[in-house]
Amino acid sequence: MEEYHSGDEVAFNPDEASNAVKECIEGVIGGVDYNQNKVNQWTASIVEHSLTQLVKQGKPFKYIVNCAVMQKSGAGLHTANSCYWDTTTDGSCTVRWENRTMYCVVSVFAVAVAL
Amino acid sequence: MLPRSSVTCSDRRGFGRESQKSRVTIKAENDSKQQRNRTKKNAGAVKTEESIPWTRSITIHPGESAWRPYQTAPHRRFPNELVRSVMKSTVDARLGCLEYTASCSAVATELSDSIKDAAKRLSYERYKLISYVAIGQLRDSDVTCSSRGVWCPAADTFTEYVFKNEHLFALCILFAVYQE
Repeated sequence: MEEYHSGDEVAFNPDEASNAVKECIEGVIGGVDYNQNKVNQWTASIVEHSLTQLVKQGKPFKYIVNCAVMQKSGAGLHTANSCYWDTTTDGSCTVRWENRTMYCVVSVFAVAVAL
Repeated sequence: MLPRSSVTCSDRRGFGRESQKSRVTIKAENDSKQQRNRTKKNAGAVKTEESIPWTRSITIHPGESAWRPYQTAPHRRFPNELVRSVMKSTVDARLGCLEYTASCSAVATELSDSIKDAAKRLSYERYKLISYVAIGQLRDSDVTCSSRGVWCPAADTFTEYVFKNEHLFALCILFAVYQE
């Protein structure tokens, strides 16, 4: 059973989250080409695996993971986010990944839970 | 031996804590020497009053609290429909007939700030807000977006709005996470 760090305030570590998410993306779509029939399943898998890995770290956070997969065909995409929270404890990270046929942008938001 | 202010003795028997409080006030007016003598003979009672000031009664008026309350659930849940209409008016006004260019990066940032500020103005206490905006070009390419969260479903929520014109699409999501 995972243990929670209680008592002291833990700030979000974006590097650790970023590494966990990169591994999840590689695990799901690493080495495959874009497939319209499977993309829904891929985004759901990436999000679910990322959440599982983040929760396994055992930190007292609520997580929101957002994943966008786009086919490479010359079209552009811009993403932005704006947050109203406690900057000392909460944080986010964004991971950009691409291969020959598609782009994948995953954003993780972590909001501290007071224990 | 008790001091001359024997009034205090009878008060103590009749009223308990309140009279102990008044006894402290009276004692302050007496000679300090007498107080020291009193301390020796009535060590228990006097010591209690002097050494533990918190035994004084605290008056709490209705609506106040002597300590900070823990609210594990919100008094008012974040309103999805109202937020969606606010998002719609903000996005429609800003994007309108805009064409997709490289400067849409700044537009996306500006729009996410505007949505976050509009939601803040609704003044829902103890809610942390995360605004996410994606603006993409409409050009024969597929985009799939999914989100998932680990949170408290009773208190936390999200609202989304998708805008589309001839040149671009905009996906706007606002997550509201309750601070327990």
